[in-house]
Parts: sequence; C-alpha cells; structure tokens
Amino acid sequence: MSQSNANATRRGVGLKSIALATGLVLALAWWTGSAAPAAAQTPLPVDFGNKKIILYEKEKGDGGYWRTGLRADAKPLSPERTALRGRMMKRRVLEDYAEFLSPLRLPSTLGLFASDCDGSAWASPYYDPDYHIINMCYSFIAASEQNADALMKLQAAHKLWTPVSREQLIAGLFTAVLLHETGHALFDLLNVPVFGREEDAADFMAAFIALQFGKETARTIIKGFAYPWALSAYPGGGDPRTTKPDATDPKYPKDPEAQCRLDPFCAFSDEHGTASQRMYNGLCLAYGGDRATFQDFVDAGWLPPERAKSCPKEFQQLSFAFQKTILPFIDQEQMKKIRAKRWFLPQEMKDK
Amino acid sequence: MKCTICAAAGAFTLIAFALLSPFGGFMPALAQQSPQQSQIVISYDEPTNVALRPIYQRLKQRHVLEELQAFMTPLRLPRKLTVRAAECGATTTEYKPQGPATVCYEMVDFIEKLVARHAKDQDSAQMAIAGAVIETVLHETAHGIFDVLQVPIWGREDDAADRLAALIMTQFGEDTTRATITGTANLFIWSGKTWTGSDFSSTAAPEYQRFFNYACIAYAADPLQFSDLVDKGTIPKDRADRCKDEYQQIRKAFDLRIMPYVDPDLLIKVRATPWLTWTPDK
Repeated sequence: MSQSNANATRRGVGLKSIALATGLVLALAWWTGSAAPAAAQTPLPVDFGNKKIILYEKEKGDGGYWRTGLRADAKPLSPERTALRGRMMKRRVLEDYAEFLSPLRLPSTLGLFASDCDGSAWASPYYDPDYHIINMCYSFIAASEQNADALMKLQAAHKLWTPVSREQLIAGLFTAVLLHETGHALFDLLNVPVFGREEDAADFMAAFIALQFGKETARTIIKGFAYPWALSAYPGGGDPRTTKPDATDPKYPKDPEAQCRLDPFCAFSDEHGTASQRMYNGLCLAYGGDRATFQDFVDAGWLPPERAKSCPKEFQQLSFAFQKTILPFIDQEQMKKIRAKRWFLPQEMKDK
Repeated sequence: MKCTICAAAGAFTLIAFALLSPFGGFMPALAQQSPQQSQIVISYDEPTNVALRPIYQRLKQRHVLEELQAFMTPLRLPRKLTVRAAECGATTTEYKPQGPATVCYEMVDFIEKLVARHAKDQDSAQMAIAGAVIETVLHETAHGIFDVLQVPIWGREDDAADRLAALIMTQFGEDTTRATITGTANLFIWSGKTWTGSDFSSTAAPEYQRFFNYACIAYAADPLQFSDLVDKGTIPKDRADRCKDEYQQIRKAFDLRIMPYVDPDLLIKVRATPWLTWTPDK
C-alpha cells in the first residue's frame, strides 16, 4: 500500500529519470513532433468547449486509451490490463476527466491519456511538466481495487471507520490521486506561486476541489483519500520508523532508496508528507471546509480536537489561495454546468 | 557525543553570553541611518519569569531585532508589522492576523541549552546559536509578511515560512548562507524528538522534515559549499535530484508575490552590508 501510494503521487519527474535511463525520450518524440500522424489530436466527442484539453491517441482511434505502455518497444497489454482498459473506456474516465477540466482557461495545451505506463504493477497517474501531459496508468485501477479490498477487510474485522463501500473507495481513491495530479498540472501550467511544499499543496488542491461538488461527492473523494493513508499510518509503513533498522538482517535491502525509507532520519527526506500527515491534512481541510458533512470523522476520533480547532482557518487560507491563483483562470459559465453534473455513479457515493 | 556534552556544558554560559548576536557584533551603518524607513516595528517585552531575564537582556543589548529591522528596510510593506521578543509560556506562539510576530524567549533558551549539549567546540556553538536564532526570527517574520502582503499560501503555512526563511538565508553571500543554514540544520538534527501517531496531526512539521527542507534549498542555492550533504548521503540522491526544482519554485513564488514590494536600491545596500562578521574562517 505505501509503495503504491508513494508512487501514486509522485509526479512526472520520476518519469523523467526513467526516460533518461531507458531511452524513453526517443520513444516519446513522436507525440511532440508533427512527423507522426498517429499523434494527431482527437477532437472530443462532446461539447467541451475547450481546445486546450485534448486526448492523446497513440494509434488512430484508440481514443487516448493506449494499447501499450510508453516505450517504443513496450509489449502489448496483458489480458488483465486489456480488461482494465476496457473498464476505463466503459466508465469514460478520460472523457469525464477532460470534461471536468473544461472550465479552465489554460495557456498551453494539456494532453490526457491512459496507458500501461512502464508496464509495472505499481505505476500510477502522474503529470509530466516537460510534456504537459497527464497519464493515467491502467495498473493504478488494479492497485486501487486491491487497496479497497484490503480496506474493506479491515473495516469488516475492526469497524475502524465510518461506513464505506468498495465502489466508494475505488472511485474516491482514483479521483483523489487524479485531483492531486491535477494540482501539479495547474501549479505548473498556470505559473502558480507555491510557497509551501508542493506535494502538500497538491493534496490541498485535491481536497479543495473535492468540496466543490456537494456533500456526497466530497465524502467519496475524502474517504478515498484518507482511508488508504490511515491504513499505512504506522511507523515503518507510511510513517517513518522510530528506531534504526537492523542492518545485519539478511532482509535488509541493498538499494539506497529502500534503506532510506527504513531509516528514522532519512525517511523524512520524502517531499511527500508522512501517511499520517497526509491523512490529517486531508481530513482537516475537509472538516474545515464543511464541518457538518465531516463532523462524524472528528466524533470518531480521526482528527484530534486540537487540530480540528484550526481547520476552518486552514481551509480559509486554502480557499484564499485558490481564489487568488486559480479562480481567475476558470470560466464561470462553464463551471456552472460542471458543478451541476453528477460525476459519480450512485453506487460510488453509497456509504455501504 | 557524551564527551561533547560535558565539555560544552561548562563553556555554555560564556558562549551564550559572548556570542548571542545573530546578525553580527555591531550595528551596521544601515541600521543607524534608517530604522525609521523600515515598516518593521520592534519591541522587547520584559519577561515575568526571572529565568528568562538574561535572555531578554542579551537580545536587547545585542540589538537583535534592530538588526532584523535594518535587514528588512528594502521590504516596503504597505503597513507596519510588529516583531517582538516576548515570554510566551512555550517555545512558539501562533501568529494571528495583524500580528505581532513573536520570537519567544523560551525558544532562545531552548536553542542555547540544545547547543550547549551538542556543540563540539566554541565555533560550532557560536554558529549553531546564531543560525538557529536567525531561523526563528526569520520564520516568525515570514508569517507576518504573508499576512501583511496577503500572500496566497499553497501547502502548510509553517513550511512556507521555513521555505521563505531558507531562501532569504541563501541570498546574502556564502558566509551568511553557511552560518545560518548550518545553525538551522543543527537545531533540527539535535532536537531529537520522535514523531509518531497523532503527533503528526500537528500543523508544525517534524524537525527532520524541516531539516531536509532547509538543506535542500541550501544545496540548490550553493551546491559547491553543500556538496557534502549529498556526497555523504545526508540528503538522499532521490531528493537531491529535485532540490533545484524546489529552489526555483520558492524563488519564483518570492519573485511573484514579494519582490514587487522590495526596493531594489535598498536591497543592494543590504546585500553590500556584512551581516555575520564573526563567522569563523574555514
């Protein structure tokens, strides 16, 4: 879980290093140059009214749902990934997301697509600031489903949390990650001054957007964000260990990155907050933005009263930052339509 | 480490008294010329706790806030911001809109005691105290600047204040950068607090996280001077690779939201002023 989530929120810089290491840069060249006809932009099938948001096709007619990974020599999709691709297409994930973003007046084009990414099991959606693209990795759907299953088991055994359904968790988790990446994209494309840590800021963006579409949508997204972090919020999981690991243990990793994650000092070098911090920040902003809707999270002891006190102020600060730096780029007429639409299916908003 | 404690503890009172002068052992000419130009208003509030009186007196005698005031003259705030030194009942006190920004005597006390326990020698003790006190002053002042200039904050405000403080520390020459960053880094490394469970619900960041935020910006600003941090693996490669981006990001934020309030001519004067004259030659 912590592995997939850490990657879930890592932005395009990660891709850049992979690209350098594998020659992926060459593989990507086709969609930056005009030489390859397959790179043609697909006009969106419905009236989005936004020419700056496009679905990138790899092969003509794939609708932005690629049949391969990123690399030129990437293997065709496995049967499992083909099934995931089919489900994403059926759920119209890319089309919905493009429509959802349509009120934005973007100075440069944002490309959206889904692919097998690097082919691994843990690849997750990311924004790439070099190419201005958001790539949703098929594997992340599978990872979200696995996370949801693990959470549902815990929920059944321990009744730790406010009721939640599997569909709600999957939809919420996927959306929360996508909104986090949307945050990175907006900070970059709109040249937003980010004074705090960008990874926190992207979580803040996700929480703020989550609260703009009514109570049920907000609860689905915030739960999908907070529950997985709660699951890994323990020392050595998504929080740093409190003691040094035994370096003589045969299982002690040789990889410096893995060693760092086990070290009680080095683990804090992550640009992301700890699992606990991210959980508390998300819940705090949700509660601060809509106390009535999220009161049960405070009552259940998820958010300590001392933090809860400062949450309205924290949300206000976030709201102010949004107004100052993002709102001027939003077309209000289009936004009305977007806010009126139901984005989740009924079963994705059900608590149980 | 234990021997250092014994050695340093004896020398502590002397060190603290002689060297607690974060911005230098003198009043820069700039401070004498133009304190009235600064929109920073300062005050030293007398503590009721007698144990804090020596700190109050030292800060006052050494003109710590006057030097902050002088240092801040280029910043043309649209209204006054009070920065005060005061007894808080804790090491920090929350900044409230309209201010004042508060440097707590308790924090200075904490810093002095921490340094006395850990510093290897006088030089490092000197640097650690000065750097950590400057960090405290700049961090608290940053909250005030955010408020007065109505700066939009993405992310946690405490981290934003750290990042602004780190940026400022790295803009006034390598000596100032080394002294302030080293002191700050030691403060956080030595703090020794273990964070777990609901500790993480705090709006404050864990000391080690703060260490990496400062170290990363310092490394990006001055990779030559801070190359050790990466070569020895203190900043893991993964993070180090992205420090340039972090640094550019806070610079950009500064340029967009704060630079328009900075008087360029006064900034040159401040940059031409030696601020940390005691910095040991190394």
